[in-house]
Amino acid sequence: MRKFFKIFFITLASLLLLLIIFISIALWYVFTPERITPIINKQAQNIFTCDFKIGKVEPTFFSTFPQFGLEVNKFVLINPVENAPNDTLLSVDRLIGSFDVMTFWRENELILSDIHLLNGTMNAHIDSLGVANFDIFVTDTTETPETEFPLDFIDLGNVKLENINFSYIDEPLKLNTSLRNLYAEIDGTIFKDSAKSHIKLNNSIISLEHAGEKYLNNAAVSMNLPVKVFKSWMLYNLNEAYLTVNDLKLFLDGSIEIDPSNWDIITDLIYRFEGWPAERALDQVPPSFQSYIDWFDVTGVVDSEGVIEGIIGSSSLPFMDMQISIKNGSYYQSGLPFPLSDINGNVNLYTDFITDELTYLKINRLNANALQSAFETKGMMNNLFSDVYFNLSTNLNLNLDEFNQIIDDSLLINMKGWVQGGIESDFFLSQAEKMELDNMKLSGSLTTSDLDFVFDSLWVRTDQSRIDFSLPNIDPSTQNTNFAYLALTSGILETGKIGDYQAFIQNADISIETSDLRDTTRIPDLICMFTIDTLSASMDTISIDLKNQYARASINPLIDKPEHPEIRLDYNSGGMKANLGNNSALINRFHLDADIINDRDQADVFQQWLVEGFIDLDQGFVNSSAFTYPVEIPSIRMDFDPEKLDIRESRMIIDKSDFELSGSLNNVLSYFREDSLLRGNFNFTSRNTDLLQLMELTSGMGIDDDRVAENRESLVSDQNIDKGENVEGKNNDTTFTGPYMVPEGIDFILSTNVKQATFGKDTAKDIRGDVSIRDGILLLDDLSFHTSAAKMQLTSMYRTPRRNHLYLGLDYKMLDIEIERLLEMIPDVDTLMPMLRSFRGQGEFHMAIESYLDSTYTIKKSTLRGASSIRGSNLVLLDGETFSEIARRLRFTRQAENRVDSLSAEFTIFREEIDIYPFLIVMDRYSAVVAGRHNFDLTFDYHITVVDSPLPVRLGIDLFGDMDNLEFSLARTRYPEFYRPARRGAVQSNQLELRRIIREALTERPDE
Amino acid sequence: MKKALYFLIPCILVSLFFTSCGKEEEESFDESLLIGKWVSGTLFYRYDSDGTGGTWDTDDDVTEEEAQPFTWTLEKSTLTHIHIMEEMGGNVPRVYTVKELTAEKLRYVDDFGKEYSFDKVYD
Repeated sequence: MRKFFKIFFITLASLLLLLIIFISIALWYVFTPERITPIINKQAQNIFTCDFKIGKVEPTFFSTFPQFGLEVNKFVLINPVENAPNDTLLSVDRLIGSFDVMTFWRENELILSDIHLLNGTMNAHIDSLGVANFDIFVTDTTETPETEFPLDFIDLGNVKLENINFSYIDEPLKLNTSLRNLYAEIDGTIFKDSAKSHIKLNNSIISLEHAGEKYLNNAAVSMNLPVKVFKSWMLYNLNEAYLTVNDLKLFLDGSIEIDPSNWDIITDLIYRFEGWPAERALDQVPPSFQSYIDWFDVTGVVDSEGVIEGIIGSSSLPFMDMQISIKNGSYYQSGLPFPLSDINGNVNLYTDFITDELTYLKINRLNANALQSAFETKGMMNNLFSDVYFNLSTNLNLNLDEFNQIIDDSLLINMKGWVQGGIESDFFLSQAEKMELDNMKLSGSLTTSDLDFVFDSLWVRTDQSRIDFSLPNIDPSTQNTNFAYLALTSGILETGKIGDYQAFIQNADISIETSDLRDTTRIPDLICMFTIDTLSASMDTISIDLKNQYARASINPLIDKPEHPEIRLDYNSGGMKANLGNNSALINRFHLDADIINDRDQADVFQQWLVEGFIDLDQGFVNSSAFTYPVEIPSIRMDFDPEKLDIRESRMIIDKSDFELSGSLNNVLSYFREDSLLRGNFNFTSRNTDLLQLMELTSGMGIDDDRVAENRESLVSDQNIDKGENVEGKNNDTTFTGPYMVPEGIDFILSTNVKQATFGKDTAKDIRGDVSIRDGILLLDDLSFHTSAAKMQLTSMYRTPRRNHLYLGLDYKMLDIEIERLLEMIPDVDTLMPMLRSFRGQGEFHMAIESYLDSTYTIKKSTLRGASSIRGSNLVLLDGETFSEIARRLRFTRQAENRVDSLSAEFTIFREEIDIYPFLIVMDRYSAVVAGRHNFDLTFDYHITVVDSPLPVRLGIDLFGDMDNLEFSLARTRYPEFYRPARRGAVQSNQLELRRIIREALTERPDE
Repeated sequence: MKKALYFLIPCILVSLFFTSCGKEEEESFDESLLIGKWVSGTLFYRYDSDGTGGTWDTDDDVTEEEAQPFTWTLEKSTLTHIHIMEEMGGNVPRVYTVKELTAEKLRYVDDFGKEYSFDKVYD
């Protein structure tokens, strides 16, 4: 076997050696340049229509192995064409081609193939009429019978270009292309008006200009272009072609067709590129388009693939269905405070660059970082060339501190913290620009952490909060609140105004639904619900703490007045504590359910706010500097509406006083509309009442501001006059300092049932009766009560026309009164009738008196009017010395007792004078008629007519002076026949008539 | 007898002492002169022709509009004021004896000899 191979290889080597020897001899002696060159020249004349120059032609074998070839030194084609920049079509130093030896041997024809051009230039040109300077081949072969060269079919074989400078100018296409150092391989055939080729370019330098625009300028280009050309060179089919420009490699597959009628380019291509550096790709953008991209810098690696289908023409661009990916990108533009980095994304762009309806950008994924912030979005964008439509789903993780530099300093905004979450958006750009929020869809959920937001002097801090929002509100509670939804859930949230107020909120859950807030023609529909574990707020000396609140509040426009709101509020608080300076309030439980109508057309604030609902309050405590004692409110239950306040239960404890008030208040709204009196009918029960404190609580209601101001000035003036101080510089104390001003325009009836009441030092028990306040009048009507001195009936009237002019009228009926206790209880009686100090015992006292008082309750003596009667029997004279003096002077019997048998007197009070009308007093053996005048300065002038005595004559005694300097003298009897009607004189009759007038007036009830 | 005489003499003397003279004729005054406003210091009286009137004292911060009402009569020299208690319904009579009543001057005394003098006020 080895022997066979040995013989076989020796034989084969011998044959090859013979073949080489044969070829060498043929090349040296048969295919000499001198023989071949003329043949080539002759054949070139049959092929080319233009001038040409062919240098020495040498045969080759080894360089074209395994075929024989020809090498032409200096081959030139010259074809001058008008407007062509160069007459030379082709000029190369060397042209090498292979030929078929057998054809040459048998038919003496030399057909070159596998042409190889080295070191030269090519200048292709097509003029504006479509005439090409490379149209140089003879088309009619019949005129050259010696050679049969089928020009309908050209097999280019494998054409190689090496170090060729190529220029191609196509005037109809406005194309100017140049390639330097062209290294190319062209493998193809040309058959009539079609061709099939495979063009390869390596590391050539290309410049491409179209319509005056330089698309490529000395770009390093490589190409692998399998192409079929049809339809008279107008249709190019590419098959897995690629083109590399400046290391930007582009794969192409498909067809490109040129429409000769308008030179439009019809494309049907699939393209693909990978790993393009974005900045280098943008560098390829023609200069005239650089202005579109020079305002931003972008980096990153871009991949793309897609379809380009359609016409590239003067008025159209092809559809492009592109999928673009970017990795590790960055972006920065002027005005952007920070670059976007780590941009990674994948988008689909489908566009013809003209038609909005067809164009869209689908963002499959796009994420980027901005310093520490990051976002990721996906979605669709349509209408890219007009009103861009966004349908995006975006996730954010923002470091707010980084956005401070975006915000104009004039806005005085400073932010810190993080915001994380997602936002769904669905809107048109124009809608965003015009803030057409009613047509936009925005929703999302954002979580803030360590948020610190400052706007001017306002600030908000929260450790963690969550904000859910939806625009529009997809699940509205009512039809009208479908515009927006906002929900805030926070752990700890603090807010405030620097140097002013601050609030602390813990565990808040707040949701808001609303209609379009921008509609200024109507009050928005709004529903707010919240639960807040803790809310504390403070400002200056004011603070409030609220616990366990939950509420639902809604605002609706009034049907007939949409610019005015109707508010529904259901508020619950598990605890409330408020402080205002030295005042404080504490409520353990509070429930308010109210419907509120705000009619701002009304002038008065009470008519502007019409409220209906109920209040339920437990365990309230009020500490006020206006109150001497804290007020405890065990419970309040009341219903209210604009016209009526129905107090179902109201209990209050002030110091030792306790009040329980129930009843109703009517005509509230009518009262404020000045259509009606404010009417109240209440039941007032109390175990113990301090009347001064009660008066303090209700002082000043219904007094208009002018009157209040007037009264305040009056008070200040009075106080200053009293104290001799200057008015200026006084600080008006807002605490209650009296006097009590009776509310006006109201009609209250208070049915009282008070076990015990105190008024200063006085105490009354079992007070029953009606206390009414009727249009500025406080009336105690037939109030019966017991005091330690007597069973009393009191009718009293108190009016307050003005602060320094107060009317007080009293009608006392005291039955079985202990005179001594009466003076203790009503010391003023001693002033009115000082002689009573001398008596002790039971009597009956009836007094009607009225006077005006000043603001300090001091009687204006010039206005004092009064009438009184007193009845008594068996009264004991207290002052034994006085009795002794009288007894000594009047020579009483030894059995005379210190006792007045009877006393029945009337007296009047007029200003500072008390006139005691003549009355009969019987004592021992004496009967005397006493009359006189007592003055407020404690001087007096009495006359005593002794009508019955042991003496045979009637005596008259005048007593005058004062108690410390009592003087008396005998005088003419004034009333000798006072109790003898038949003998009564005119004066005495007049005196009795006056007593009758007084007595009757006392027994008549005052007109109400 | 002597003892009785001791008693008799003083009684006679007392009787003589208290024996009054005959009553003087009461003077009459024209009540039309009373109509109008009178003042004594800060105290004002206004007599209206229908027998009503009002009184006020500006020293007590009372104005004419706040004057307290009274009715009045003048019979010869007896001037009677019935002061009306506005709300409580009582009456307080005051009786004076006019001593002088001219277009400019009013002067009267009460039963206790207290004299009051007023000047006419023309607005």
